[in-house]
Amino acid sequence: MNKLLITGIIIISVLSIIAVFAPFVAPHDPNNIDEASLLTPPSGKYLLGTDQLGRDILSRMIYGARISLSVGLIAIGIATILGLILGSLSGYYGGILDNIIMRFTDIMLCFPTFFLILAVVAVWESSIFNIMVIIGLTSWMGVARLIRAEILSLKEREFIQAEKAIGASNLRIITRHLIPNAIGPILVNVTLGIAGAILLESGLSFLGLGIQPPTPSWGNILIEAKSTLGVAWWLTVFPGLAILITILGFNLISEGIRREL
Amino acid sequence: MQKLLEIKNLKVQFDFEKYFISAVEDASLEVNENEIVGLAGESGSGKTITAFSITRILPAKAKIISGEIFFRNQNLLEASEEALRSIRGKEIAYIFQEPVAYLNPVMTVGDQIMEAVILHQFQDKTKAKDYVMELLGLVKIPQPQERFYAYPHQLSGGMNQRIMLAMSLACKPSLLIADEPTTALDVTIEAAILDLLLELKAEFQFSILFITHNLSILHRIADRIYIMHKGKTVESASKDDIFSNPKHPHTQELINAYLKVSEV
Repeated sequence: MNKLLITGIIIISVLSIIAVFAPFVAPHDPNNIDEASLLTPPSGKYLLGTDQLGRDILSRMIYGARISLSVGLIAIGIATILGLILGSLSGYYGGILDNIIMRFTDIMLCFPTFFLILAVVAVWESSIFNIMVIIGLTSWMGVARLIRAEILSLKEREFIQAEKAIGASNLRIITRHLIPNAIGPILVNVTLGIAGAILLESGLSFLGLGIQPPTPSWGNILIEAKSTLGVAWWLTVFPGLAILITILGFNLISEGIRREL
Repeated sequence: MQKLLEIKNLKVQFDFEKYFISAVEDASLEVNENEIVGLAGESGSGKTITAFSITRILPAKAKIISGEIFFRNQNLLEASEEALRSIRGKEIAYIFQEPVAYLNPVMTVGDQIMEAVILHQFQDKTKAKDYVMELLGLVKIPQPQERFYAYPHQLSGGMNQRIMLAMSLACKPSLLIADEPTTALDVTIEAAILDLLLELKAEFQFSILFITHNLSILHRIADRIYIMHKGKTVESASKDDIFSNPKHPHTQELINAYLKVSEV
């Protein structure tokens, strides 16, 4: 275990614990409006200040962590599973199937993902669930290509032939032998992908197309802060920092895993 | 003696789209029940491809062009992939040249043997595990309880070959195809593995098709020997006849190669 990996894991663990136990950690109700203290700077009562409606920013960020992390995890979970299935089918069976899947991957890569998501969100309602699914369905291509390349070389290895010789089925060979041997680069890709998905969600929420208020997410706290940027610096600095630290944490993990391989 | 395996005029080619390379021209051989048959020849003579053709575990580019392969009177070349899968491991098992390469590097050896057991014998995991421990003892692996959790890279070549052997004998096959199982091992380990093989054969009564380029091994263990040269089985005879009265010039060459070494 190298320092990068350990640092990354600590950052992400702390964030995850905070997100999971949000109701216990948060000092205030994230939606509680305190008319007496609108836009108060960080103080003893409100550690990171309040917004224009008098809501506690720290509490909103803590609840926002739930949204951001779960969007990242589930979206990339969907993307990874899709990528694993398509990539391993493509790499293992080859031939026409490989051609069809890879050309489809190329087509998906041609779309500017962000604008595709914008278009989809414009048509459908932008619920958390929809955002996760859309991000998931548009980020599997990297995983698919990676796993295909790994399997192309792994399937020629002798131990795969030995597996065939004891009568193992193709499904068994793929799931029990090929994928576990290819998991290293996939893990790197997963952690990078989670970071990307969190950024994407923040971006969408910032444009008002992601998580809808009053549900707090780091992105929509930022957009609400935009109008008062001149007077209330704490509204933008802290959510921005939260995004930065999270992305940094995931990037450290992925770099750490890459060095361990 | 009952006939177990029969290969007739097998022809296998590698298809590289623009050209073909013939790997096996015309191979024919027979293996009877409870018999050790040697298949000898120089590198590239088509021994391994012949062996892999039996249960069709050939590389993707290799195509069987013609010939017949009968196992217990069932034509394997006409058998479906499904049917073959139930024969592989259960009826016909393999051990290979470099055991480390033929074991999954990220799976414990115990789990790998267990996989063979679960595929054909016990579905129940605790039963399967007990049986794997028994197998490890059978192939004389010391401290099987600990070795079960070892990864292939933590074991020596000889040890790994014993693991392969345990894996292939897990379902009591009637034919064991040994593709140069001792080539990657040093001579003392080689002798130990051969002894073990003979011992297990005496206990479980299976046939062995032993592939090698080393005639001195066959001199020790085989009942009958086939000589392969440039993709063809050029000579077949009982062990004694081959060594006392080799007919094909290539057989003569192979024998000379070893006699010279032993004379030195």
